[in-house]
Amino acid sequence: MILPNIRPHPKFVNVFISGSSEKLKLYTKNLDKGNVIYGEKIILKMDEEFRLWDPYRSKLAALILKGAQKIYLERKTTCLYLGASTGTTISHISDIVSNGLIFGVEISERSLRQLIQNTTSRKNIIPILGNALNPQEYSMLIYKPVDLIYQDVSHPEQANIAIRNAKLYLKEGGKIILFIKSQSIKSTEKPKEIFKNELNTLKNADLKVLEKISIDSYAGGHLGVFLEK
Amino acid sequence: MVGIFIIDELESPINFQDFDGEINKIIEFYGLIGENNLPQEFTKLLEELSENGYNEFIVDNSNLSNLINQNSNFNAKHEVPCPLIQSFKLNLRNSVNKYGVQITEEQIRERSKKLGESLAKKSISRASGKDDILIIQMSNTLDLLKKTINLFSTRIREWYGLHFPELTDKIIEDHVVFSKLISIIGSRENFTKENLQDKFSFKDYTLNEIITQSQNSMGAEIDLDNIQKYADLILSIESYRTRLENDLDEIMNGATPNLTTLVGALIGAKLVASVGSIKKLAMLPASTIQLLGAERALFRSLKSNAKSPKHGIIFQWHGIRSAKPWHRGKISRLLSGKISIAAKLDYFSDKLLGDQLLNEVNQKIEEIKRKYPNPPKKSQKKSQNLSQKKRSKKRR
Repeated sequence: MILPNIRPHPKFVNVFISGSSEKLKLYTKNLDKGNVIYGEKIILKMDEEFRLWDPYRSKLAALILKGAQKIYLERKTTCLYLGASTGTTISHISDIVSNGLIFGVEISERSLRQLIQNTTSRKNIIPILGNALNPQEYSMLIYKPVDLIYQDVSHPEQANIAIRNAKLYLKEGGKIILFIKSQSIKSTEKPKEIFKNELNTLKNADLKVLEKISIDSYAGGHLGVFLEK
Repeated sequence: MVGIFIIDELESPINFQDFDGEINKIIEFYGLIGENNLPQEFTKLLEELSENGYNEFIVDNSNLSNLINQNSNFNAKHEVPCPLIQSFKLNLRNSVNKYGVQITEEQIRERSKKLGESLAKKSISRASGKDDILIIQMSNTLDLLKKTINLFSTRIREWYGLHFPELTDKIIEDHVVFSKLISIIGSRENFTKENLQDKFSFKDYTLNEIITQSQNSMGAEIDLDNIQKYADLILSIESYRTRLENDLDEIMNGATPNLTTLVGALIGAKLVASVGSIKKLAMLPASTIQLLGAERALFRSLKSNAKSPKHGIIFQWHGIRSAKPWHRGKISRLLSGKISIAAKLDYFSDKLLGDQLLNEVNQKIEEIKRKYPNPPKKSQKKSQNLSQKKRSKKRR
């Protein structure tokens, strides 16, 4: 078997790539060696495990492949991850912020059940059962302000969730990576209109829009937005 | 995660009670608050505070403020978000340092992870044992079993039909009876009067029909061993289904007595399963309950000009299914209203008014039947107009 030529991503720390620019594949270095989270492919190279990062399952990977300028994740970044689900994306972020910290908030007990089992051995993930719409609920667990909020929730009030959490926990100048799911807001309206409305709500709350990227080809009806507090 | 801290307006420390770094104490603390008990550590602190002449303070946990107001002379205000508390918590390490508590970043992280995990685990296990979850699992399994039995039975009909096509095609329609016949009697030659009377209770006409047809069948002689094993399998699924249905009935009677009296355990369970919990069902308006299970038709009608659906899961209720088509919409509206009342009774009170609700429904159905004995003519015209419009659209 020919091993893919895995090399560091030119822009992003702890993200790795292989293949030509048209057929780019993404990887992260496995922090929790020997464990696979969602059946992803693992490539061994020089005593390191590289986990293939599937853009169809993880929207952050889709954002990178769609040409995001910055993802604001460094080795020591502290993140608040809203909508952690079973741990697909959060595990890759955990690989990237290897010396950082992630607070993973999830409302569904069923999903969190899997998340906990998937991430007990990852020291930088703190699982939290809570409703992101009421950020006060989990204030006893968040012991320092965060550099980044990553939000991927299926809820009709996505903009409000981001605003409330940013107000409580985000540092001045901190960034938000937000995915707007048009289908969760109103399925009968056109996605464009919904995006416009949500973006207006965010702007009115003094959040600056840095970059907008449609990831329609990987996840239908989704818009990725980078914001700054 | 470290202890209970009291600060004044100027962020200077007043008093504190720490957990000695014991993670179990912390978990217990939040567990007690969740169950509406005031933890011992807190009462101790409150006593010390009142000795020093304090009587009012702010907390950011609504449960805690209620508890304090109920159980002590203190006036605990619930303020969210309280900037003072928030900045204390977000700089936890430095904040507790002022009280002389030394703790490393690493220790805080470990505690935070353990606390987060165990709080989540607690509520996961609490949630998994709830009646709601059991009802949903059982109801979904029942649905699957019914589908499976149907699927399996159509296959066995084809297979056994090679041997005794007359029995398959005309005489026996009930799947379970059919499998029973194959399992117990099997070969065409054994369909004698004694055998049939012994284990089955057919009407005379059916009995004679089976016997005559078995004697001059057009089927072929094939090996029946595998078919009989297959029939046993179907019967065992069926007996498990009956058992599960009885158990579900029992749970539903305990958890939602009014709803169960009104529409029966099966439909009640399906309604609960489709929204996720009894609480959610109780919070829904009747109009939503009416269309639960008909979401696709509803959204189709919202997106295009299609007619909006009249009923979802509740269509399975005998009173609607057997009603005249032009009564169904009216009965659905009526029934969903009563279901909504029943669900609210079940969730918010202990009253048993299911029989009364069912009587009211039956009375009103009679009224509807009396008032509208004939199908309405107007709506027919309407639908004609609609279809004409559609046609004309297509032509364009």
